[in-house]
Amino acid sequence: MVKIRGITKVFHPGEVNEVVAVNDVSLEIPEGQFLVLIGGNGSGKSTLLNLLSGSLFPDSGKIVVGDAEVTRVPEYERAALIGRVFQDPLMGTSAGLTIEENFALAATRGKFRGLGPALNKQLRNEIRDRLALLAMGLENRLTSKVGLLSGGQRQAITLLMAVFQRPRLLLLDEHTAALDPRASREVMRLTTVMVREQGLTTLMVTHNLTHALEIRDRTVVMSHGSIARDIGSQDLAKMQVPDLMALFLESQGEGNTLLHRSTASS
Amino acid sequence: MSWYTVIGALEQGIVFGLMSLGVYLTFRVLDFPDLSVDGTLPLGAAVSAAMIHAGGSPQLSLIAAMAAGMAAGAVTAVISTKLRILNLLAGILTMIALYSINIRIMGAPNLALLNRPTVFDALQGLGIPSHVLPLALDAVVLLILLIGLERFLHTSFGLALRATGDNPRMVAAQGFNTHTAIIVGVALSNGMVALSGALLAQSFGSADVGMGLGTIIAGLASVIIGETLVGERTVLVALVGVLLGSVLYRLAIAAALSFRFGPISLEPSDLNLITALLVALALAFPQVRRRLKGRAIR
Repeated sequence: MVKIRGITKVFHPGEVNEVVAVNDVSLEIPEGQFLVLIGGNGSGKSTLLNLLSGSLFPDSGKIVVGDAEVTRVPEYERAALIGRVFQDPLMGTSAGLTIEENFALAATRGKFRGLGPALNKQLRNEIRDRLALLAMGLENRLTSKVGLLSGGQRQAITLLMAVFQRPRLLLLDEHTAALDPRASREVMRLTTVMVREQGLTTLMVTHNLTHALEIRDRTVVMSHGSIARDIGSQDLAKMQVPDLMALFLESQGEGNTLLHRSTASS
Repeated sequence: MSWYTVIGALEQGIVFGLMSLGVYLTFRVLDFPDLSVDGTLPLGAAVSAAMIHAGGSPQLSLIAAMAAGMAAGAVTAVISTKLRILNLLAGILTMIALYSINIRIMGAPNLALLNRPTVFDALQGLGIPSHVLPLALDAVVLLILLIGLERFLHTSFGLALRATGDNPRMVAAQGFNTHTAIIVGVALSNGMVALSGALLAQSFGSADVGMGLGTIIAGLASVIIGETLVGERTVLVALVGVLLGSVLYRLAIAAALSFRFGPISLEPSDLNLITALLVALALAFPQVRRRLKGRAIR
């Protein structure tokens, strides 16, 4: 269960380039829901995601993940509750560390990191078992440096790391956008399998309406920093991509969606 | 180049190897170019020399030197992370502050340790020739620290530290405070550099406020020579490479200083010029090699 209550984030407040990125948004994601968030560039969806992950703090409002209020908890502490996959496939892993070392970091997320050896036989076996699920042959390359892998492989590993310890909230930030079509489809397939199997509460930001409609759970459309549409599973069941496209265009409205200036500054 | 010069270069390579490991930890592992080492090397020497001068134990003075170095390193890291001052500048600030502090510690710009006890005295009478004694002890200290550092970089904390230099955003997303990693890492690095300075002072018989000049350059040269020659396939390979780089660097300097061509010969005061040339060469080497390889393919 994730609760967002009236959060607002303004960039460059009081300056000429003031932008209200997120404007008094409230959103509740029930336990186990797979929510898809779409919206044009500058609609505020990435800011909302960054507010949830703790990369940014809101100016006002409240964020609760599970039983914990995390509104102003720094990202590295909040990470105990949250798994995150970035848009950039290079962002989620450490290139200079081996595959197993990256997983060792994920295995200690939210725990004390002391001076004990990071890896042991039991953990290695677990990593091998999980990697075998990807069917990419990576389970035989535990000691390869991650920097040697392809973008698709790295993104699959990041996803697996994000769910290695069951997160209370999984954040997917356009995580297939930078991949080639085949890798993108494969990572999307793995995503749905993992989310469904573990029943994870998930928020996925995407520009890909086909991917959005693969998850007919709930789709939220953002525009100008606010929620413009909130589409439930019953409506989504009847929708095709053109229908969602029409709704999307309608919700973005006229005018420039790239730069939305607040009325307060004028 | 005489045998004596070679032994001297080897000894310097080993003592400065300790310092180079510290530079490797900041420059390569943490991606934090730390210039405070030019101040923490003489800091270690000053603390050790002042303690011995005051009648303290040479062994304890090594530990005190290391602690002082760690504190100074932590200051640099805190200035950089918490006050958000550029890491290069933070290091320079600590470095120049240490110049004054080091003179305060010694009570003068330099301090001689003639006829004072050193850590090397304890080994006298073990049958080791006295001129290789410092070399033997330094090698043992170096070996212990090398193994310790290698183990440390494979602990849970060490992994987070390595990942911090690689991809800080990922480290935060995996629930680790990158500031902690940087502060601990830079402190450890400067602890090793200061220990190196303390051993230098005890083996050369004096500490001097100017002895740190060019430390960072020498450390960087060792790191790059090592990388170029043996690569960094694993942590252990990279660390051994740094030591090899350190010894080769000192041998190259010794060879350059003993160079004589008719009336032209180099003076010790030319050392900094040679250092700069050697480091420029070492830095350029990977680039030159890449170009030559590219040409071969074409």
